[in-house]
Amino acid sequence: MLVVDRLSVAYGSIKAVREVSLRVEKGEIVALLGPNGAGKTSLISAIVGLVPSAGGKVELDGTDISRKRTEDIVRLGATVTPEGRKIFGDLTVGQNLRLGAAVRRDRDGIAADIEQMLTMFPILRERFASRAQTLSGGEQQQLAIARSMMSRPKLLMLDEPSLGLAPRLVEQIFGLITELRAKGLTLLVVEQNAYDALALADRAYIMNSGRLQFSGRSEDLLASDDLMEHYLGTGTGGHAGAPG
Amino acid sequence: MDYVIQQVLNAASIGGEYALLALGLAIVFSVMGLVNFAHGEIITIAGFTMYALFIFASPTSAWWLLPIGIAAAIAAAVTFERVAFRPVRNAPATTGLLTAFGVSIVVKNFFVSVVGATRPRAVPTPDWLGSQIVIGGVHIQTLQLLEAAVTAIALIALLALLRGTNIGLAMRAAAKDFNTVRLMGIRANQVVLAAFVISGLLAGLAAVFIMARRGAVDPFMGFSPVLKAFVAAVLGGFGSLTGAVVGGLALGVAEVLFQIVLPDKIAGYRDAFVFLLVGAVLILRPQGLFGRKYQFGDKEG
Repeated sequence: MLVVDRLSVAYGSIKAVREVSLRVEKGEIVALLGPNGAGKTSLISAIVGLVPSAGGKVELDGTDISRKRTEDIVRLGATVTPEGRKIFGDLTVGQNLRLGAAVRRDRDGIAADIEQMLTMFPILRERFASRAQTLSGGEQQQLAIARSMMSRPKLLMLDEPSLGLAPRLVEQIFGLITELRAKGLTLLVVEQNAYDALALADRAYIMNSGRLQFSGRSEDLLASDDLMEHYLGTGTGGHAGAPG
Repeated sequence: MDYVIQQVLNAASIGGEYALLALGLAIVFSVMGLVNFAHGEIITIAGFTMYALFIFASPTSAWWLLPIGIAAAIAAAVTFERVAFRPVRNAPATTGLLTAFGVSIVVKNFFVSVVGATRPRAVPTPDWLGSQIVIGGVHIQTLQLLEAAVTAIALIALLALLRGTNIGLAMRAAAKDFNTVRLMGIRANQVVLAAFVISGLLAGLAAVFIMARRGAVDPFMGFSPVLKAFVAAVLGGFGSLTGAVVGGLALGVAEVLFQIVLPDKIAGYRDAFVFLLVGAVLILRPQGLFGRKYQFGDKEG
């Protein structure tokens, strides 16, 4: 579904991503791991065209999207739920969801999808008319994911969905990711929280200092303390990277 | 009573004009971070278009000048965006500011040297705009009544647009975080275009009233009203839409009040007193009445 071929990202003279290649197949959950500053967010920002790439190629379902605008890439079915959630705080929960479906014209379908999201995230039904900035961190994360789902993406890239959330909420969000896959969605999950992400992903890529360091099956990584220690700086039982 | 009502209407009509212009500045600023110093030239272009129509087409009724003037203002705003501002959209804010100065200078000098309009040219407006009507024994200028009413209607319509339509919601969201709006698949160009169309429409409405009051055009006619609109926008808190409206009306009220209370001898310094008052407000609230302190720093992308 997604093929990234030797993609680079540079901010001025600083190279944030150096020739990273990865693939995500239809129906997969793929984790993109690595410490803070490894270039993970830059990489997915470049995939959806929010930052210009400094070389390389991105294909979505065989279509070259390397030079396309963000809004057109989203219309082709790939979207990002951004880090730090980035919900529209001045707008209500309902308006956030409505904007998520801004590209669609099927009124009935939109209404049905909103209903579905409210069933999936009961708290959003409760807070439907509240301004989004009054939601708690976990509620905002749910809203951000629901909002992304409103455009009916084929590929959803979640940037640090567990960031700043209490463990119980992380579990809830990760449970939701599995649920989304069951509905036919393909997911690329960017995480510092390596253990939880690996428990849910089929495969994983590990980045460090802008380079791809490892790619392989999640269970292989989890089974090998050496690999975990070497790439993620963690041995048995520890949680890599993410504080709290 | 007569006098009070007339003065209130005075303040509402002047304040309304400032509010229309300040809102146009605020919308463009909040959506794309551009301080549009060429806003006054939109008024000038609307004025000259009405003048040209009057000279070359000699319309049978001055009525026609009004919609054409407003259409010209929208076209001017959209053209500025397409030709001048879009190429520098992702450049630092200073670049946009300087570009706006450039547009302003080019347009002014076009009218001075190419059109050769060095002195004001008369443009008629419909007679009824200058007439008076009597409501309950009070004489009221049609123009002022219309100005207050049109401003109110424009504000209500704008509010409905910002609350109830996708493009309106997208504009509000883009004011905080344009990239996330694009992640919804909403086209950045459409959001920016909408901002300029609205700012042009509001400037066009103001231009029609300014023309009706002045009855003439000249290349510098946009400067003074837009300067006041900038003051109004800063007073209200730059980038805040509510602030722009409140700032505009407050400025109108302040002008009328000083006009009344200042003795004739120093009445000519009215604007100086108004600006002094604005300065005092800004010392107490540097972010403006409705501005947030971190407004300039928190915009991302």
